[in-house]
Amino acid sequence: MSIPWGLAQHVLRRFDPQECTLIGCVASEQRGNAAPLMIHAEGRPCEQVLVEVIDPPNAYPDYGPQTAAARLIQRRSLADAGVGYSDERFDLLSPDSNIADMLSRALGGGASRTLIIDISALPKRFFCLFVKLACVDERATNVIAIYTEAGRGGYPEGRLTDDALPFSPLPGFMGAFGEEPKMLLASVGMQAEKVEGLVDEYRNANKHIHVLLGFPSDVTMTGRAWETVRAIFRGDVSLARDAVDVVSTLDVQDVFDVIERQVVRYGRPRFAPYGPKPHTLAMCLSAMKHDAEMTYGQPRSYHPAYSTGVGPSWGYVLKWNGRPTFD
Amino acid sequence: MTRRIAKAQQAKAIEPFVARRNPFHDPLVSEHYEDPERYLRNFSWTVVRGDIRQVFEPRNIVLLGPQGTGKTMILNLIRHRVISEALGTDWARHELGAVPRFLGISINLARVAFSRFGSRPIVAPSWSGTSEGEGATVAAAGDFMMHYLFDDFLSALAQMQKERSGRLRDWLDISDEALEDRSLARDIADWECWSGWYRGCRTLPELQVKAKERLRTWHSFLNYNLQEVPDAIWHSKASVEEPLHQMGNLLGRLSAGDAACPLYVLLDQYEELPNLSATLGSSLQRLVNRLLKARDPVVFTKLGARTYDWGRELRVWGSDSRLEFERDYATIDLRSVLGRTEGNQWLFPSMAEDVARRRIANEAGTGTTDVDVKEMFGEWRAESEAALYVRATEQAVPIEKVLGRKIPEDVRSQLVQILGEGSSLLDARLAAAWVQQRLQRGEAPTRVVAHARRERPWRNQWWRKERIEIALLQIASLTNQRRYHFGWDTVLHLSGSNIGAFLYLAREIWDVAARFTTDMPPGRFDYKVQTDGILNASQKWRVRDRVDVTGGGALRYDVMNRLGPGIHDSLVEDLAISNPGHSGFSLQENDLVDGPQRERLKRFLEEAVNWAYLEERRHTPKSREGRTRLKWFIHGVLAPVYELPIKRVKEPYYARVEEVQAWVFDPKARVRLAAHSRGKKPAKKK
Repeated sequence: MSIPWGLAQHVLRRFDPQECTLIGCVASEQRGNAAPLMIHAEGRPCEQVLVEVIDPPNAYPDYGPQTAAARLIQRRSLADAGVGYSDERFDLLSPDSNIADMLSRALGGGASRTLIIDISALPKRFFCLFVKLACVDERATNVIAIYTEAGRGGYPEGRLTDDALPFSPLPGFMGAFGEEPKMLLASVGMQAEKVEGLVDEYRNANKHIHVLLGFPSDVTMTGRAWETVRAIFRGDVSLARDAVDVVSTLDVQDVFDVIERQVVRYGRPRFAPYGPKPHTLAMCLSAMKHDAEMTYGQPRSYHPAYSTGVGPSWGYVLKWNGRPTFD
Repeated sequence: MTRRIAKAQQAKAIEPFVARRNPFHDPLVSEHYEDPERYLRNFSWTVVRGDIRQVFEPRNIVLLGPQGTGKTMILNLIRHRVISEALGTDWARHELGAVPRFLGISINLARVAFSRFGSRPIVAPSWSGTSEGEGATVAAAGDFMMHYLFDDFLSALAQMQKERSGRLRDWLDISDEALEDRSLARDIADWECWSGWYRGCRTLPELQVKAKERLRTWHSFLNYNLQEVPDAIWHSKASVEEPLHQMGNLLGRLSAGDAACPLYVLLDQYEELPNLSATLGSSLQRLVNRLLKARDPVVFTKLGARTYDWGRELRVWGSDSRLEFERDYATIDLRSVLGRTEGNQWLFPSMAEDVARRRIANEAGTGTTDVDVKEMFGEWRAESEAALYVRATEQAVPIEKVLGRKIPEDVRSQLVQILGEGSSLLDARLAAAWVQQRLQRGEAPTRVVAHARRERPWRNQWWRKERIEIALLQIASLTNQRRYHFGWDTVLHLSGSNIGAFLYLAREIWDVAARFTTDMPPGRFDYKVQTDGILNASQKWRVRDRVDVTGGGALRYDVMNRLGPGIHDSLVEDLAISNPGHSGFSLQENDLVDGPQRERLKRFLEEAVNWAYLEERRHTPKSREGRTRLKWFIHGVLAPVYELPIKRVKEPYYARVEEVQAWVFDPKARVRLAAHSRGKKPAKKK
């Protein structure tokens, strides 16, 4: 099977509107509202659970007040549209178990249902664990991920995240015990330079380093990503030729296939998801399949204007009638 | 547009000229040398001298030092795989001759699942006798750590068993018979501390399979691949001390030699635990502290930590006691081992030279260790640097330029006359500084000129030595140029006795050089190549903090960007060079212990030292205030990017703590290091 995907509205129409739950994020980003508004506008009787994620108090720069103000605007916009939702409040660095418990609460007791995970504004450490657990939870018959693009030119110049913690596995993605990864597979996009910190270890061990670049992509993002590629391969174009794949920014199946080809060729990867979220989603699915590690240096501070505007929303069916679509 | 394309094509044409692998790549990840042979080829034994030898002695040792000082590089030598490899070479065996024998097992606490305990609550069954809540999780983490170390211990035994007359078993004096005793594995399996987990295992590989099964179970649970921890695990939960003691005793029994053969436990990444586990990091550290507190006569713990990461958690899990310095452990501070001593002894240069030589031989593939590294970087002399700022066509102009504008015209012209034709820029700048100093003190111009003509006091050795660095900085600034940085001594000073910084600098210099020649390594790096490479390294070191995953780097980056230019401006604008030591600032030690704000400042300064963005030294004040002070300088490797002096002289800027707090925590604060006079306590604001 391959991962069915398309405009979120079209994808959702394939599924029974009853017994549906959406987990999203009420954030400072406008696009976080897109899926809740769309589902509400279509009159789907969908239970909506929106997570509010708070940066740690010692984060620097401290954008707390600006982020709170921007989030309030998004809440008002939901209220104005009459969207009803239940609130879940989390610290960004909440223990894995709190995140897992929230999913369990959202799925409720017993009845099988369709779970929609809106990854647009959810941090990676949240949505990757949601996807992993939902895909094996029998209560979720269907699992759909939604990703809403930012508006045109929607990524500001300058830094979007700061104050990253040391690299560590994302919750639920520690990889198989005692199995050394055979290669590093990184996706790069915004602030891609952080990947450089991981590269030395692999270069030193003469292990393959593979990079995914999203296309099409924001001009600024493309420039930054290529800068990173240059840094990773120390300007040695001959090395980069076999190690860089330019793949669709949005086609999760395509990205998944590219990853699979590399896995067949080099063996179990260690993923470094620093690219667009659909790439992270594809890595997450592949990591589930191969019990591979997803490693990330979690930023503690997110810029309140991480993205602006709202682009199209895309839907990806990850589990259909109880069966994962990616494997 | 056409010109731009041509330029781009030209740049592209230059790029592939990288003939040899840059041997200084991967400067900060020596711990990733999984290949013991490669590790040993690049390991510099010059550092295993004096205090460092204590690392290999039977006592609990905490090796301290900022990021990049080589802690992991040294501690790696303890691992049994590395020692075994080292024993295979004559030179390493010779070096190890002075080291007491031991068997070293290790765990990297950040890489394995240990730091994930706390991410998922663990509920122990009531019958297991394990305490509830956090207690159960910490007990589980202890069990994981212990079985991980046991697995490594088994690997060492299995390896020795496999290799008849192996190097390690010879060194440890373990006989074939002792290892091949059929009851060995059965005896281990029957240790009471395992509570039957290994029952039925008859060989070492069987024990290993069973150990891995247990580790995999914990791992799967933490990774959400398993819903519950099986009862069999709880039935056989191990303590942290007892199994290690059994391993130590067994080693002693196996070894036939007269001298003791202790077990060393190497714990890596201890300091990262609070970062990796916000909820339980501190408790996990307390659990590890139990190993040090155990004072086991056959087991000794070795760990490395960044300077100020050690000491923040000295409590011991499950006990009211704390770790006691010298009773439970000793520390070795790499800053004092590698830094300059009072008697001007300095170990770092020979270490850096040896490391560079080894890297060029082994990593660049030249195969020879005969490269003259010092010659490759060449010599730095102040006069030769000053000469570089004189552009041939404008020789007369810069001399005037470097005198500065604050000296009255008549004094100026007389000074030019005193200096005479052919005077160097450096001489001119120092002379002008001396004159300006005297005039600022209110001396009559005629008297100053007469004194200058008579004695040329700026040539006084000590007066000059303290000001040369700043004079060069001012010359570069007054002639609208950046400072040139080149020479072996310069690279050493920029490194700040930090081998990571040294390799960073060498890497960038090599990269710049390799753009222009395939003949690497060259006999000598051109001074322009060195200047460019050093500036690249400095810029990257600065940005590294913002983009790297160090925790707290974003704030540090901003503070450095205020502090660096502030210090630069203060120094460059002080044309009288009245305060040559003001490239750093000093506070009384007890200034930092009063209240949460000052604690916060202290923490910031400590972290900046930990990550090699500030260098810190204790110093005695000139005045009679009677309290010890600490002084801080921006790390040497950052000096080029902020245009700061490389060498530091006395006396630093005596700052008020409120002032430093403002520099660090108020983004609008202006950094100036010029207000107070030398050695005097600044007047308090009314």
